[in-house]
Amino acid sequence: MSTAVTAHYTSTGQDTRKIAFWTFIGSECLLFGTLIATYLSYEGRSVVGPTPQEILNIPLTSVSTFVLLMSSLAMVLALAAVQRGDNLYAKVWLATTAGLGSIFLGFQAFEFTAFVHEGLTISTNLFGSTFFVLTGCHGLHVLVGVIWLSTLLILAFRNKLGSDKSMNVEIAGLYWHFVDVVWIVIFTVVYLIQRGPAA
Amino acid sequence: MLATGMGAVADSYFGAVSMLIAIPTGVKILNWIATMWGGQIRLATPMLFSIAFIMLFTIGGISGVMHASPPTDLQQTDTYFVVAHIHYVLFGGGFMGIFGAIYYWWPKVFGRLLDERLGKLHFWLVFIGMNLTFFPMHLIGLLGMPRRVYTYPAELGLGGMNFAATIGALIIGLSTLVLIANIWYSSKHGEKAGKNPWGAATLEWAMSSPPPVYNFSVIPEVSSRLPLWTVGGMTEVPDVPPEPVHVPAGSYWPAMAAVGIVVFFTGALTQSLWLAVAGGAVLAVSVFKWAFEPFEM
Repeated sequence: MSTAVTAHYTSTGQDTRKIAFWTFIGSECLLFGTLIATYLSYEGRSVVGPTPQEILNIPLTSVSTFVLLMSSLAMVLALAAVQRGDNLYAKVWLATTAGLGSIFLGFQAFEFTAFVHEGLTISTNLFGSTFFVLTGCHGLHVLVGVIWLSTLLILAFRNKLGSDKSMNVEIAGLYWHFVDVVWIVIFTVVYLIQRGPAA
Repeated sequence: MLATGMGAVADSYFGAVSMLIAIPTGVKILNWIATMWGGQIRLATPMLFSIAFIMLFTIGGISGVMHASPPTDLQQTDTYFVVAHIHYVLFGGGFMGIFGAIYYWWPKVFGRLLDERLGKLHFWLVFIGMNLTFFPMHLIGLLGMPRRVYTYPAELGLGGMNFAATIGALIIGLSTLVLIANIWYSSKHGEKAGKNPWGAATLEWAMSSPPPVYNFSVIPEVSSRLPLWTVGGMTEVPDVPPEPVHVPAGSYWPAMAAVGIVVFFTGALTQSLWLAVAGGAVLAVSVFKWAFEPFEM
């Protein structure tokens, strides 16, 4: 139970805010589930235009995936630092997480613009539509996460992120890890597992 | 589904599940009757609406199960018969229930009862109006008037029943005015409701009307299904909380965040970049203000 602002009544043994956030993550699973299902429904059925096989750059995206995975590691270290009251390393690791997340976003921006130059836009074909909506939605979630982490970082600089605020950081961590897991699924489904176009 | 031409297997499936729905529905109807059985029924306005609900919902259910049979459904589908069925279920069933709930819980929410005579007037108007509007639709539907049209050749002989339905609809409209008048009257001269104006048995009637923002100052221990009618059914709840109750104060930042979302998606739909950016900015500012708002009692 958190020791933050007065009594956060809990009857379940878990902090209610954490349970509430897991509920939100549940709804996000449904959101990404629909987008991934749509991608899979239309996969291989584009009539024209660049296909995944032609345009996706797996080595490059593997690097960005690794970057995002390392950001989750940094997130764990940030939470540990906050929990033991280590403000210096809290700042270090929060900044690292946000920074690595921003690098991931940079990779995504590069990839999107490169695709557009190569002739794949959201309205080119089924692959373009499903790909950009799915990865774009994910990218927006990463952006929101980076903003959230930056806010926590600013709080840490103002010495307002003591160990009593660890639940805030833990919940931010839940969000960040969720976004990372979603990316793992997207990377696997979109980039790694490619079936050829329907005969 | 039975008129889509999908074949015998589909017809069997959809017909069967439609009929199966009638079983739990029937159980519910009998539950509700059993709830009233042996009780001292007081025919106040909420009770009138509840009884009307049971009756009209049953009628709607009967016309519904007639749709479950493929041959009859081929006659009835896309006609006014369906309209009659759905309105008996949704209006006669759902809406009557909602009206009953409004009259029942109004004193708890607003601290004043709705006027009983106006309530009964509203009830009878809406009951008569509803039946006058929707019962003839069973007949004109079976005589062939299609759904979603309001014109028809005069020689079909449907004019009389359609006219009756129109009168019924006007009566329903009139009844709504009665309800609005009742609400207005109650806000000025309504009888003040104490904790339990209906003498009801359940927990919400243990608190004042309207209840304090924290509702129950302590969580009572409840040992009966009908706590207020049972001696020792629930432990005492003090009127003044023994220790300060922590309740977040109201805030308009959540609503502002919603406004930001609306503006953002309007910009996205109208392909206006500046609208989208503006909406996003409003959303971001509102979320930050909301998150950092001090937690007040």
